[in-house]
Amino acid sequence: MKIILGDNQFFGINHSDLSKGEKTKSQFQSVSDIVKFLEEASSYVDGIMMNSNEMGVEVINKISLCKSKEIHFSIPYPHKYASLVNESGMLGVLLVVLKLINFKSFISGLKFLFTRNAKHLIPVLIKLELPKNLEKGNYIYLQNIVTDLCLGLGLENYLLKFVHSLKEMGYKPALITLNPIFLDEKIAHWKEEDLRDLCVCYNINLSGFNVYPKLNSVQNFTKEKRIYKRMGMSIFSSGAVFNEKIFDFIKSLNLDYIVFGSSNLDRIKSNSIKFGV
Amino acid sequence: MNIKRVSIIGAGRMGITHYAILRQYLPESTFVIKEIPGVVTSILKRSLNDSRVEFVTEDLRETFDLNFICTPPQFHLKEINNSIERKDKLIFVEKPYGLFNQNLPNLNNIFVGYVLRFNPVILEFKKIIKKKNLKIEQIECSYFSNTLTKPPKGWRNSKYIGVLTEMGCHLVDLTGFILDKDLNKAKIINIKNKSVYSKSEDIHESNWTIDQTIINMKLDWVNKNFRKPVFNYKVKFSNGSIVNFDQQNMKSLDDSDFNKNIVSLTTNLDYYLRGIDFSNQIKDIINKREIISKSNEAIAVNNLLKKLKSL
Repeated sequence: MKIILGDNQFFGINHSDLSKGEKTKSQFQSVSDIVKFLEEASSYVDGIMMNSNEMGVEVINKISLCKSKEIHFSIPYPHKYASLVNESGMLGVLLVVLKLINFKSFISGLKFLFTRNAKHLIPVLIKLELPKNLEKGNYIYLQNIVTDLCLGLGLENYLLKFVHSLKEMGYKPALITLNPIFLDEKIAHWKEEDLRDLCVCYNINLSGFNVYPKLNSVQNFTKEKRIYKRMGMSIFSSGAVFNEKIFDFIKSLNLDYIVFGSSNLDRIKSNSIKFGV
Repeated sequence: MNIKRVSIIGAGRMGITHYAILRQYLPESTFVIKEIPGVVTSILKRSLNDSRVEFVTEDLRETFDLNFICTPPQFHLKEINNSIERKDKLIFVEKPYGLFNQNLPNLNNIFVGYVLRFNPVILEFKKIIKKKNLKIEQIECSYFSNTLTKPPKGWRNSKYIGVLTEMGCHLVDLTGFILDKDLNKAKIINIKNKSVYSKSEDIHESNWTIDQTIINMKLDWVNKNFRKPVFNYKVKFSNGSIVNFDQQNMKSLDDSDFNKNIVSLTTNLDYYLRGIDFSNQIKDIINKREIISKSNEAIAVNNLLKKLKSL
């Protein structure tokens, strides 16, 4: 099982306690603060996770990690698009995206204009979100708000297009979801070559916090074998629950990856040791 | 109630969100989505290739078991009247309920999407105060975000929109819901509105009363300190105890029964999108309709908002 250090603490995100999120964010006032912390923390973990907000992109462009460390980069940054919709509506967002089509994404842009099928915009949107210094071979995750919307709308083919687009670009594809069993049902028929390189990230923790549809079923699902890799997130219930039983519980699940956030280097080191890394 | 045919008017962000959730909780139902003709509609039509849904651009004629109205608020009245004429059985309207200058229908089959009512912390708070028979003396509530970073375009930048319409309506509705009181009884003490980017108010503070309860409300949707919208309540009871809560946590130094975190209030959910409250709202409208805001409550919200906007 590999350990990835998450990024919520840098951006004030805490799904169980808003004030805690603000407190940890205050430690990281600049991109340099985040980069310095990550470079130190990386000796205790197998890699880092980072979101495509403005600071996140800069972090990836500036950070220098040992070659063995993995970068797991998640896209898109939802609040950027939510603000755009609030200010300019859906058409406004579309126009912003279309303006950014350049020579490299010309074919995709043309396909979209002829067919009006939004699926063809996926490679364009991916390129918009990636930092220029992000090396090939790293994981690119689709944020759960998009993955789960595609699931809800019956657009699993979009998820497959996302996977194919990333593989063509030289990256490893990954999907974040809060509905892991639902996603598993929908991708079960995908070809083995599409599933083999895929990683699926979802909530799993002892308290069942944000574990859907319910803890028992996700726990059982996690113990079953799958071709694709699986990453557990929110393993400490967003910091709301911390006891020693968590470590044995997570280790019993045979996950390929786990991700957790922390602004404390000693805690990161101690957790990694307890997870047996 | 057997819901076979569902219509959704408006395929914007909320229409599509509700459609995605409804598809899971009504697996046997078919859908008609109505949107104005244009580029976005034609993209949605080509992209959402699904035998359960039909896209149309003209007004609907048949009767639906459930009609979701997710258009901008200035179009609510027209669509509600069309829905009543078609004899749709249940009508759901996204918040706010129309605009403040409209004569909106008050009917038992019309419900309004004040989704924060379904937040687990809010529901737990209501449950505890009912069990303990506590009387609320004072409320301080706030709702802050960085939603607006520049002047909005088109209809989003009118005197009827602004932070009160977009975010304040939630707090006003929640306050009435928590107090279990008719918001038509509210009396204004003072109001302060400030415009930063939009033609309407972007920052608001007001003091008002409902019966013996005093409410102070602060709104700000141009606050760069907030990554996402955060609401906060500080409630003082007549016995002197104070409870603070937001969307994730409830705390009291005076009464430990109120010390709850959303982690302990977690429930099972078949399909999650955007928040547990969105799915629970859908479940309520298709089942018992016990928590969801009724049209008379939403009209009372509008009446108070009109006063708070000094319109």
